[in-house]
Amino acid sequence: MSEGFFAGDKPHNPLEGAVFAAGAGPELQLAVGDDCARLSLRIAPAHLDRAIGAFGFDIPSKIGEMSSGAQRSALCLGPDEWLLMAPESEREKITAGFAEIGAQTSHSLVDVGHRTVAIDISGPASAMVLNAGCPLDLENMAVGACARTILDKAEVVLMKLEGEYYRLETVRSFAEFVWKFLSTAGREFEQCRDKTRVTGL
Amino acid sequence: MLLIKCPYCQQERAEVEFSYAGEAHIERPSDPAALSDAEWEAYLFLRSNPRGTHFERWYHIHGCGRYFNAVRDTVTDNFVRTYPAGMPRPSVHDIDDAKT
Ligand SMILES: [Zn+2]
Repeated sequence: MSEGFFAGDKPHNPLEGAVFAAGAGPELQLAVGDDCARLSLRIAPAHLDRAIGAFGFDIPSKIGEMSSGAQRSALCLGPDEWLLMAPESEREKITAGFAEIGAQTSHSLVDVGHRTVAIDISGPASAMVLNAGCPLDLENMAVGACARTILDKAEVVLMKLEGEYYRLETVRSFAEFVWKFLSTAGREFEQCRDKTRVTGL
Repeated sequence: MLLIKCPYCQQERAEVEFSYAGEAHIERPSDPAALSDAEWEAYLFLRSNPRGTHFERWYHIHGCGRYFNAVRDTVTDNFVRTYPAGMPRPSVHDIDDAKT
């Protein structure tokens, strides 16, 4: 990789400094998520216990489930695919842990941190705004659940962190589109609210 | 919105998350060189295209990223059932059971 492609080791974030100001109502907040280490893990489900040992934290085995703690989280996205996340400072420790089991357990661990941008969506209107482009049944999605899905034309990974707090991860080149899509949907919601079409929120 | 149950995710998910991938249970010949042109043509191009029960492949492209098989009625567009790739074609009996 040519030097200077990334400013130091910090990935370029196309949403840096982006602020959602439409209406500035309490119903919807959009915020650019903090950078973190993100690793895509592929391993045979039968060897998941070894991955848990290497990661030093629980990794769920059921698609759509997520384990999360202060220093680690793991999302099960497919039958043999996981997204592991941790603070940037923990990256080396995690990759070293997996390197140790590499000789006995074939797996792949790919750093996808530089390709990914996170957006936090919160407030009473968050599900409605997400549903403007995402077909998931968010009302019935459990807190702590996750899914890879689609938002309009962009593939995203969605996590429901609290009842009205979602985190969405998408690839960097889609980030501006996703941000604008959510902003537009948010403004539409504000207009609906002003016309009192949406009540009880 | 057409919902399709992914046998891996074990959830009914919207059709926009999926992509169609042709007829299912078409096995690649193990020795293509031994085939006649007609047999190779049949493998590559000839499909059953039935009116009614159809066995087909679907790809949960914007989900778990896996291919699976489905039994779909081409007249009603009803997904009778879905099952993981690699499993045998469901019998008529299985299909009738799934319909009721
Ligand atoms: Zn799936």
